[in-house]
Amino acid sequence: MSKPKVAFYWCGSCGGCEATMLDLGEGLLDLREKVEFVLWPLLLDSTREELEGLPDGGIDLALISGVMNNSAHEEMAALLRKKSKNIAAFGACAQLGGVPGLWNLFGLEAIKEHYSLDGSGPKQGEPGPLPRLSESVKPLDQVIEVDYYLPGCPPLPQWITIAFNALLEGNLPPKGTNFVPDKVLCSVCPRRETKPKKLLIPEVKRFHKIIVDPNLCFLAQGLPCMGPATRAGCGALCIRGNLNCTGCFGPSERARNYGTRALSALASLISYSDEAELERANAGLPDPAGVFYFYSLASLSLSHQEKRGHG
Amino acid sequence: MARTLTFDLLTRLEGQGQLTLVLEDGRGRVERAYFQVPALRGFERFLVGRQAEYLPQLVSRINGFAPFAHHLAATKALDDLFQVEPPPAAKKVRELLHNVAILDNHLLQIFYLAGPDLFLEQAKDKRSFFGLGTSSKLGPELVKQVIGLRRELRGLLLLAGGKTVNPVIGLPGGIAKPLADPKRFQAAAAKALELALRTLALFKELAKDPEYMRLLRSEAYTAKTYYAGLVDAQGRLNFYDGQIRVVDPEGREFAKFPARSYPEQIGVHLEPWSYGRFAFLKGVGWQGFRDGLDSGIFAVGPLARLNAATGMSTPQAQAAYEEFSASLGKPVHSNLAIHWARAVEMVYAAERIAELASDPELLDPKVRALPTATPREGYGAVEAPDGTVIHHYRTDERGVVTSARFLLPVEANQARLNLVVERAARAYFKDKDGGLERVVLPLRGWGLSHG
Repeated sequence: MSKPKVAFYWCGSCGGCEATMLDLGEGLLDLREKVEFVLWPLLLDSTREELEGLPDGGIDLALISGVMNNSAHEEMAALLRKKSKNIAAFGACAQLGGVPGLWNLFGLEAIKEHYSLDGSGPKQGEPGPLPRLSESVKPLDQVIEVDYYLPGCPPLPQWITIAFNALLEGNLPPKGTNFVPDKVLCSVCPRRETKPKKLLIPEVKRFHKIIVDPNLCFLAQGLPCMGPATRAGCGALCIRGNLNCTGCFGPSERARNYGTRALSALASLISYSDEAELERANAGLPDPAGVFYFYSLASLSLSHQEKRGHG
Repeated sequence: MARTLTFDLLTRLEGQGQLTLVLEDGRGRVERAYFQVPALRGFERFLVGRQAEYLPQLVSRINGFAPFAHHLAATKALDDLFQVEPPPAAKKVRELLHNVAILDNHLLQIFYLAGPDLFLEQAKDKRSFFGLGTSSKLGPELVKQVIGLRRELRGLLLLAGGKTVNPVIGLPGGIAKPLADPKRFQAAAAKALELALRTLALFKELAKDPEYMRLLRSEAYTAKTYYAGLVDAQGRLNFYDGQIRVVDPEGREFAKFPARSYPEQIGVHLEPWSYGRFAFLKGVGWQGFRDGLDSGIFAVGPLARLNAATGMSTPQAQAAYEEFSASLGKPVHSNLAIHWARAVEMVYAAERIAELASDPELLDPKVRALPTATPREGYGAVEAPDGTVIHHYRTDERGVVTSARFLLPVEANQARLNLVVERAARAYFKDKDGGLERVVLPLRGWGLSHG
């Protein structure tokens, strides 16, 4: 039997997803014996012609990282969709739009103005037009149909390994599967015993203004935390680092709009008796969009699947 | 009519770039060549409105190969913004992790990305890292050593920095948690120094190969530009702190300034064919795409750092630096020398990790100072693995960002990369037979991460 063919491509990516793939370490050498990487620009020489020359469906699994925010990303995503039996959105950008999804708070015109992109085309003898920037940043499933999700910013090697094992055993799960099991982070958090049930806090606090208690639930300290709505894919890494969960592993199935879920978990703890008190309480959260939609702002519009009615 | 060829799937580069070659009609010779930044994510714009304390985490996503560098540049900018001095232990932990991250990235660049160019025997198959263990001068044992050290270094970043990619440690006035286990850093430093010296020996070996040296010294891979990098009070290279020193193409000091002065020193030029800005030295001015003393084009990164520094602060790195200069001269103008420069820096990073990890002050539990001043404006600069990064923020009195500005290595280097790519393309690109590989060669090792 021939080896499964795998592609790993980056669209609007910082490279962190590629870096985490290399964290397979020696495992990557073993993996390379079992699969054929037909495309992986970071690590392997290959050309667009070679990719275009593959038969439709000739790639068994294509992993795509990064956001979609220009015409070249969308063209490449479409080409890989055509060439691949299975597509996995790799990382928070491909799954949810990631940090660059915050672009959608402003839109293309504001971006162009800031970067002085006045639309003047290249002159005679200069290269042709650059890839066209999109009006908004999109996660992958707003551009093509996506079969699997490997969440995280970046995903962790343990989940990548599970995905590859499923491929190698010919045992890929049903389409739409997220390779990280559906538990919320609070359920595995080392501080879960101190999570408030009825406690009320007078105000939202900010990380730079207090010395954070390294053992107490962030919510109990009046600090925002995405733990109540985020999928537990990391073993609470940031929390062990003594900072809050910002939600990089994406939503639990039970909280599709996990930004709102986490925001309400915090909001429900705030105690106030009049509007002035409420205003004071909220002064510690001047940017709820940034704090609670750190990775997911671009996913708020309907996904490709939902638009087509099968998601 | 000239004919243009565009290559948008360049490989073994840290980031994405695009190459356009303009061919002379009929003869197929290269008339012009362009290195382009083909994408934009808009960080400077979408950071406006964010709470400043989240900046170190948000900006880590500018470059997933150098997340600690951006994380720490932003953290230092927040120290400045909130006018708060971090306790000594916090600064030392930051510098320690920064050196670990740089060493790790240097291994990635040298072995995984450039390695196939440098060390593979005559390539029968496609060039990739995977071939290094079996069909190169290195052998499987050295490749395992590289993978093993990276695993160890990245384990330390996870342990002390919270996450390997995208750290969670920097806060204005300090760090989120004290360091627990310096012994592991000491042990890793010893292994890192051994591998760094082995890597250095590989380059000394390469220097005996006349074919390689001819390539390295070829005009096609050379640009005589200015160079910039952070240096300490004695002018020696430092990754975490200091002033930005600029030397001219003949190696003389041209300027030395703190991060705060960069808007007066560095300007940007725009071209419609790249989303990346072209940084230049205001004191010389933008004179178009040419090198030399009267052109403000400059470079940052490992090669530029060795050119801009007067030496190294640790003994074995100083020796390595002297050998590098004795073999290649000073300043070194070949893009291909960046890999050897990295090996010298690996020695420094390993020695610096050992120094910091045995510093008793490192373990002081006091790692935070709380800000009390009203935030206004902050600057922070560090050396990322691929060159100087500067972050500049303004906020309102609540600490909500009103302006974010960066100098990124690709912006500093883009003009130089255009010069070199054009020279390489004119020398080596042949319409029918290709030769693209030799045009991409001088881009290897130069970080291309855009904002």
